[in-house]
Amino acid sequence: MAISVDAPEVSAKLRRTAALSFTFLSDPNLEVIRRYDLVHVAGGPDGHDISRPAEFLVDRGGVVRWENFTEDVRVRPRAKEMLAAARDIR
Amino acid sequence: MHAKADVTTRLWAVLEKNSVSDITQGGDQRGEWDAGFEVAHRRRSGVGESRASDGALGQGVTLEKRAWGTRLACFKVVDWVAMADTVQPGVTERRGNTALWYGLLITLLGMATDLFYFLRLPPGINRLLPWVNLLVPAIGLLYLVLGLARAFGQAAVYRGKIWGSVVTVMALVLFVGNVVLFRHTRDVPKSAGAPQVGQHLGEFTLPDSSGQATTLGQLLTASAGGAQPKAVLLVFYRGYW
Repeated sequence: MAISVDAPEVSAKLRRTAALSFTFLSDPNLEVIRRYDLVHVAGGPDGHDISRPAEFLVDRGGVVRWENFTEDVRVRPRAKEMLAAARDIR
Repeated sequence: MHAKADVTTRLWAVLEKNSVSDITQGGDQRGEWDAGFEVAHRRRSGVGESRASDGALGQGVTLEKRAWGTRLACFKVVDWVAMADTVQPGVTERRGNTALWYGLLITLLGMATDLFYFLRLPPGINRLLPWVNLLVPAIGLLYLVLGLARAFGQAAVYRGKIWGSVVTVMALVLFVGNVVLFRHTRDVPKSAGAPQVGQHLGEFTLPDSSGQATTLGQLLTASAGGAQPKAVLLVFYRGYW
């Protein structure tokens, strides 16, 4: 499930062009992004605030079981890492 | 202390006559080649004294000394002549500048490393890529600078003044560019207040890509084909893609 500051229309377009089936949520006012302390002030083009890259694996009870915060935006987690963490959840 | 021309003349004499004795006959003057041979011989035979005694041993040593002396004399000629920036007849023509070629190849590899993020390398290696992006161009640049120093400093021996300069400037631009990029991509907020492992995420409501309001609870209980998911992966990304 992907969250960013992009508006729903923008996410819809990305979802179409990349042929992705998972849910995209829009947080243009950085409501949730700010709550989770993920704001990257002036990180976007034109100096807009955006979210920093972060991944959370959350179980049915809403508890965080695995997370990843990259030090370098070019370095992204591999699917293998995330799947391995998911498998560990009972 | 001999004048430069005098030494050069004597060195040429060595090349032509292939004999060291002409040089060492100067008497108490011990040229560099003499001292150099002594060191090499000492190391090899483990004896403190290298000056051979008469007899069979002495013969072998004399021949060896001559060969070694000639070899070193050749190097000396080339270096000496090159620094004087004149090309003597008989000296081999200018050779290719291997340092420049290594520098070019490594710099090209450095450019390629900027794309290695797309190779889906294992996480351990992937994490080191930002440093690789700096290190490889830096090494390429070092070789290029060495090659340029040779091309300009020993112009009679090494080629590559022009193309070496062009490539070095490009490599410098690449390196500086990668440094700037490095600083930019690592300018990421600390997020000390982000949810920790074991923490309970509160509820939130956000619109999905069709504009429909969706809560975290709904996502956690949503079923894709019957079974309830045991976990949901929340991926926060920068957007503007």
